[in-house]
Amino acid sequence: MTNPLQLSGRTILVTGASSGIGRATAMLLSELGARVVLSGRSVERLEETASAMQPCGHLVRPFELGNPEGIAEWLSGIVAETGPLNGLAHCAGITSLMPLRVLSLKHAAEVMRVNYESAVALTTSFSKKPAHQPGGSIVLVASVAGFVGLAGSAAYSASKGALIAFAKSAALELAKGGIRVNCVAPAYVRTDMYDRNLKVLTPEQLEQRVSAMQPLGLGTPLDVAHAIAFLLADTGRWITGSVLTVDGGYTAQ
Amino acid sequence: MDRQAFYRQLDEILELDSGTITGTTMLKGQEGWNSMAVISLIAMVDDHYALALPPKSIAECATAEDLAKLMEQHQAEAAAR
Repeated sequence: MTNPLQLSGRTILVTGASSGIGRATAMLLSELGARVVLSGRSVERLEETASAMQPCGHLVRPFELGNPEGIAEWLSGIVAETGPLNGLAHCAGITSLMPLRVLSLKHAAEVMRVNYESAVALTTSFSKKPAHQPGGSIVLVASVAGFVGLAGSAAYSASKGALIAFAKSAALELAKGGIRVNCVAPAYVRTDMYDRNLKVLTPEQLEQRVSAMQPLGLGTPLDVAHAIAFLLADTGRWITGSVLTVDGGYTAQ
Repeated sequence: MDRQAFYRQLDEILELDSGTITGTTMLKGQEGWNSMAVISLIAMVDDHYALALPPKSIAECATAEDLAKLMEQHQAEAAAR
């Protein structure tokens, strides 16, 4: 039986591959046969992910996404090694729980730079020749906070909403070149980023928030990785400019 | 730590007129002392003082002075590291 999700012979760049959704995505893509370029801040943690993956000539190429100006050059360096890429999964990002009364412009700008400007730089670099193969697919990890409100997270929400709006216009612009651009929008998922909420909420408060909001409970990184793989593989061939909500029912109410 | 400066920051977080909070102010009696205020306090303390206050310890503070003491204790621990 053919597997429509199979990715043999494809090379896919995954940002944020050292932990959480990015790590689960890198591992899943390798199980589906892809060669993965793993990006993140820490070489050690990326190597750790790579060693847990199916061996398929994966590359570890760390990058600090707080410096999006450097992305174009970094990506062309990768393409020079790997040849044109088939896909890009942008999973890296930062969370921000910063109520308006203490939200500074500096912090809001930093969240935009890491979560949104990095996606702009990655998409523009990927869309240039010779960075991509025909039929290339870009998946940006947004958030349900990009289209429903989340008190205390205005800066984060804005950065994720920007991603969604950006993806839709980019999808139209890049369709002629055969590149698809989509977002996935997760709600609360069990990751290090989720655990960072424990800096400001007690475990009971956090659990209360999740169980009240998500009928299917807390998600796992793999739940989101499955949606990303679906959009990267041929299963997503006719899908572009869309937002795939993977939220355990968070936005159903 | 300048306690008076810290109390002025608390005024802002609790959306009170500047000068309202003193060491003996009971936090629980304040209308604005809710979960969003606690999150704001943690974010402000992280940003201005580079300290991570555990939410549980904050919940145990009765007065503004208790919070100031908690901050000073964390500052001393950070300095000792």
